[in-house]
Amino acid sequence: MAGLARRLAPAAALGGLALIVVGVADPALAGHTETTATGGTATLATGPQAAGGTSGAAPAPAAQAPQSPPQAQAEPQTQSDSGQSTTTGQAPASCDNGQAVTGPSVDTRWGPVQVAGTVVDGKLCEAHAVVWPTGDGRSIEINNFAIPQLDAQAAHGAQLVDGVSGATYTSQGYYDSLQQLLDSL
Amino acid sequence: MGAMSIIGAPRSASTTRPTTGPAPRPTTTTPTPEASDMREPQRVIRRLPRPRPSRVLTTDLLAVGGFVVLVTLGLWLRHGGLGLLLSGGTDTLSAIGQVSGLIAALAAFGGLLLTSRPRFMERRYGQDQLVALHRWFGIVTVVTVVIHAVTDTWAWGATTGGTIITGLVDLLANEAWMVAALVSTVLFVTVGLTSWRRIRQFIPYETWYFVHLTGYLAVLLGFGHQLTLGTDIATDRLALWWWCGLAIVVTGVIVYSRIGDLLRSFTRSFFVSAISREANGIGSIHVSGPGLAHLRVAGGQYFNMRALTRHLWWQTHPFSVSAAPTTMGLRFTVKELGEDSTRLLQMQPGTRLLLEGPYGVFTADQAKGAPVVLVAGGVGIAPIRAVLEDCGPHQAPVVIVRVRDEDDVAHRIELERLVASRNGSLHILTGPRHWFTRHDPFAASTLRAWIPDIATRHVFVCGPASLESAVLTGMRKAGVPSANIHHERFGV
Repeated sequence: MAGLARRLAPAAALGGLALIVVGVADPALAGHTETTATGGTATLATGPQAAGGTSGAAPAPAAQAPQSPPQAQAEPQTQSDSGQSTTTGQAPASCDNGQAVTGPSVDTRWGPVQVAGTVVDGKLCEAHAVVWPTGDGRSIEINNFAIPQLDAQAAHGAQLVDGVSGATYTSQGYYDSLQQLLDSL
Repeated sequence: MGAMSIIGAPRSASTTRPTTGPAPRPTTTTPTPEASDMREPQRVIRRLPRPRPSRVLTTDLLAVGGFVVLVTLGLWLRHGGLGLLLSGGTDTLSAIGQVSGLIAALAAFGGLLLTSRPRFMERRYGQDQLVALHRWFGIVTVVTVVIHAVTDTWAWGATTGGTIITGLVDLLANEAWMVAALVSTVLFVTVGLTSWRRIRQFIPYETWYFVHLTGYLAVLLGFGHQLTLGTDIATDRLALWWWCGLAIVVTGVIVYSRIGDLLRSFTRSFFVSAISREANGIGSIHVSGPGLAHLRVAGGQYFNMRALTRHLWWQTHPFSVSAAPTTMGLRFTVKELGEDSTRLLQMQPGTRLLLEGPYGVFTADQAKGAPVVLVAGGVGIAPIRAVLEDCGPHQAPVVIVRVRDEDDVAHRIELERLVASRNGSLHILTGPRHWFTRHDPFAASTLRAWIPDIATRHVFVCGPASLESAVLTGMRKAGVPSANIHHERFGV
């Protein structure tokens, strides 16, 4: 048994140390906030507020129109109909004759993110990104994927933006810009 | 594995008592606890059945491997990897990091598969060849992991306007599973370095083995950042499922083969029935028990033996079957190499053993009935002796045994009897090693003069690495095709 202890010791020390270091220092395990911009209070009014709805937090069905992948340039600020519908039996929202608004540009480590939207009756009707990081190939690669998802999440108008895994910083910037846009209304 | 290597073995004084008798069975039979469990007394000694051959072909494995590589490459291309690679500067660096990371992940999975000794592969190639291939997969893994870590950290630092150092600090502080990835890199490098022959020779086998097991931890810790940060995976559900699928398959094979072999060894009950002395520092462990009833084994194969005693239960030793396995039992011939193998030769009859296996393809059927030359060095006599027993008279086996002096020949009388009944001949080469450096008995010309039909024969070699390489070189030069030379490597 002494033989076992002697020969197991180096491996046990190595493996134990490895687990302790990971457990203490890794952001994934050490309780750092990561990946998602959760806990947001910003809510997006989906057209007319749902009658009797408590806070507009009732999840709307995912009936939004799929959006085409964004081009590398900023899109026009007025986005046409986002095909939003609600479950409350109200008339479908239309953002056609709303007022275009723009959120502040939020700097992230990979570059600025800016969200624009359309306001109808003093409420935000839809939102979409107009600026996102395109400074390097990897960012382009990631954001080509992430921006449509974030726009889709914003279009849901429910719990707002959950973020896209793998695009942490863009998600955070998107969330911040949108939050400030809503705050300014 | 190390237990069977022969070079530098301590010589201990012991009496030579070769086993005699018509059948290779225990010379002293001690009643074992399971004797009463047998349904009927076994009067007829029958040979145990041989293992079933694997139905998996090399082309099958290459097809699966090629498919996995192509899909992985395809996913990388789908994510714009080629554009990234060709765009120059930091992006190219980033793409190199991606590719090396993907290669590292695949090689790590492949390495784990090879060393989990799945039966369908082991039966065809033998554990020693799988381990040799595992070594290459391991080298590729460690090298590409280091390339991946350096290039991607560098690219990360450069993109954020800093250096590789700021990139590293930033990754560790802000990105999920990156500390784990760094730890994984350290573990991979440690596992790689301790397996480097120049370093490994200074490390006791079990110490090395336990450190090597942390390779599993390295793969596990490295997998996390692949899912959260890997551009290829984090943003693509298809890639996510692909990699999770690969991980599940690899885990499944490891659980079934590796852990399964261990668990299955618990279900087969074996006991030491006798211990006998064979030659200088060489002894035999005779094994019997109810477990024999479920065993398929051929002469020349080996088992990983775990003796359930207070001091030895935590280590396994690969021991070759040194006689045709029968319903009476198995015989393992063992060299005293150190404290532990000496203890094994002092086990009391009745000691419970766990046997994992059989492994290896060092069996007589490899010769497909052709005439053979069998070369043994030291305790390499064990599998050679068993292969010889499985040869027929038409194979006219020429047996060459290389030992320091005649007292070192184990099973000499058995060898003489077996050779005589098979139209063969036995040659014992004794003398100090330096004598042979001047008169190489395995020079091609010597071999051709000695064995005129050498080129048509199959050759089996088992012994120290120096003997093995001398024989391999000589035989190839004498015209024996490489495919007809069979050798069992002990140790990595």
